[in-house]
Amino acid sequence: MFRATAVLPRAGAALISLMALWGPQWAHAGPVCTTPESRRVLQLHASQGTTPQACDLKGLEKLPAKEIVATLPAALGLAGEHRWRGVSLRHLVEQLGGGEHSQILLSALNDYAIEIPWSDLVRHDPILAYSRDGERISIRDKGPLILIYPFGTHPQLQGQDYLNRSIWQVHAVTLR
Amino acid sequence: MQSPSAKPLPRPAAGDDGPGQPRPHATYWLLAMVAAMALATAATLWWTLRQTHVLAQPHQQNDLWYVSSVHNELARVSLLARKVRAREASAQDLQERLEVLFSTLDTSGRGPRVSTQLRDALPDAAQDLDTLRPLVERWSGQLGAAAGNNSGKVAADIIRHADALLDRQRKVVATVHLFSVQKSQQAREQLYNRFTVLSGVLGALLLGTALLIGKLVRDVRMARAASQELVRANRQLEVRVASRTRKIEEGRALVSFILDTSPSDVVLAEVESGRVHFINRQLTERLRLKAAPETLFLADLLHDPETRERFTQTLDRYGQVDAMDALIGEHDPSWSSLSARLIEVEGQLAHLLWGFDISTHKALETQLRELATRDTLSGLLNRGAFLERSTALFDHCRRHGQPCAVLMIDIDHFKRINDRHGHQVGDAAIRACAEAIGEALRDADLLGRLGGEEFAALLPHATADSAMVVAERIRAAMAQMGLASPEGQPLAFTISIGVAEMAPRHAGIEPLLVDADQALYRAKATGRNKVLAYEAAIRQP
Repeated sequence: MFRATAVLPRAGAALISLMALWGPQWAHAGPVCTTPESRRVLQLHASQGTTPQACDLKGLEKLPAKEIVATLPAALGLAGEHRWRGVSLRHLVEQLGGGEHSQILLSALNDYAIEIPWSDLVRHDPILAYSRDGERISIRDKGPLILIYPFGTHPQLQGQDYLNRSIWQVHAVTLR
Repeated sequence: MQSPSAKPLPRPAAGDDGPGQPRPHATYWLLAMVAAMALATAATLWWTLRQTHVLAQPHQQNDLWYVSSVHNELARVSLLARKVRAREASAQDLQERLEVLFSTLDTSGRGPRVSTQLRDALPDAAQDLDTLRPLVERWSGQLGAAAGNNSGKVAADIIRHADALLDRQRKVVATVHLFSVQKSQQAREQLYNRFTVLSGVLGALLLGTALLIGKLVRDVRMARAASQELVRANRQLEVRVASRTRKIEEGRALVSFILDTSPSDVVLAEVESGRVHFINRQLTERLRLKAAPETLFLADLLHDPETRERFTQTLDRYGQVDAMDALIGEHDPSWSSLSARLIEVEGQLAHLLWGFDISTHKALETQLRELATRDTLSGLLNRGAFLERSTALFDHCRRHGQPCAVLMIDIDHFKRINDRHGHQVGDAAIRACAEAIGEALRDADLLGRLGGEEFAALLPHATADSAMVVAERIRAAMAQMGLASPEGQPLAFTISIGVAEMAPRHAGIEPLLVDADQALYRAKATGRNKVLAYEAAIRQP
């Protein structure tokens, strides 16, 4: 019954977080996405000892969506202001049963991998974007999933750290 | 002691001040130098910061990462192609990898790519990368179009090309690595050089600042020493001034004492305001004042208006008055010999007056004059004095058209009286006669003893007739008067009088007296003890 609360406002999410602290085993039972029908684009590894999950784009699109309108730093090579739509990484991690003490590791198709600190999810709430200006993103255009921070809201986000964390062609989220 | 004309003082030239003087030019030079150094420091700092800013930009040197990614992806594609040929992997998987490789090769400006720097420096490497791109696009397109049956051909094509491509990519990676290392080395050296220059300029600035501070401290010390010197000199000057002032005051006190104790009267007073600068005790006492007056006007000192006028005029006209006799004092004036000067005191005109008391001399002079004009026996005017005054009176009457007459009086037989009864009786007779005549005359009449037993009287405003009346009265009085001889016997004597009235023919008193004398002579000749007018006398034979 707590699955449903994922779409509830922040109070519900906080309640889940609290519960996740003292009852993690109980909190992450069940799949995050619906059973994939098309090509799986995202692997989800909750922790060692649990079976990995997978999502296709449709499954991700069914999850609560969030939009960020931003101009990315020039060094990322994605010029111009775009409207990015995707799943909140924090929501995804919480769905997987992760939290403050989790190590969140994102891997890309080109074997690029980066750890995203929990504090980023709390402070900036980046999204795993599957849509740019209403269209899906091809692999050529660094799709299908790109981690997008709300650039422009904080000057700190222009630093090298956030460039490194802006991972594209994401294909796996691993919690440890 | 050096005489003033001996040597002119050497005038210090500008910028060549003595060693004890602060040199402001040096300070200004140092200031300018420090300012220039500060500017240079700012410029160098900006220059260095610009370099660091460039280096601080993210993704500066990711060429190596880019080419190694390309190599890795190419290797994975090659591996996957072999798997596809062996039916161990799907064509879809291979296409995905090709897409990833293509995105890595993306030169559309939307992803990391070789920098223009690299493209210029290593054109061969850039060309290798560029040739890869159409190949990958073709393979991906073939896989996408021919799903399944054609994938084996595409995989074979990939495998055929892959080894050569990989070999070239490895070389590219090595070349780019060398280039990147060189580049970063250059950047480090450049930064190091800029920091070295910055340190040099900063050092120079510090040195300049230290010099400036040292100079300023020295200047302050010198200024302080100079000011102390000035204070000491000032103190010495004050001591000297005080000593001089004391001497001047002593001198002044001495002069005041001298003037105060001087028998002369001294006063110095302003002309306009009358303010008294100095007045000595002598004058204060003479003016019957209890204390020295605040104001005093010289003209007010003079008792006589005529003298006052003369004194003031002389002083105004010539600026000085010398030894003018005048009565000074208001109530009880005394004679003084006054000298005055018009001088300037404290920018104002002032009168300096010296007075010398001559009242004693004046009294003596009056007495002497009395003695010179009076006959000691009778107390009447002597001949000289009578002639002098009668001349004046005669002239006065003539001028005003007034009549006047002269009496010539002589004691009858005076020689006989003298011979018989001695000089004492003679003298008594003269005195008695003078007294009698005096009693008969008016105050305005003039009486004198011309000599021996002869008297003369001038009666102004009197005609011959009225003079005859007076003369007759005198003669009668004398005839009545009794005089005692030394032996106690009564002694009678008479007088004769000649009268003459002023007439136009008389040029002066002398002719008139001659006329009266002639009348007297006739009276004596015609019997004595009688009065005879000139007119009557000359008509007689």
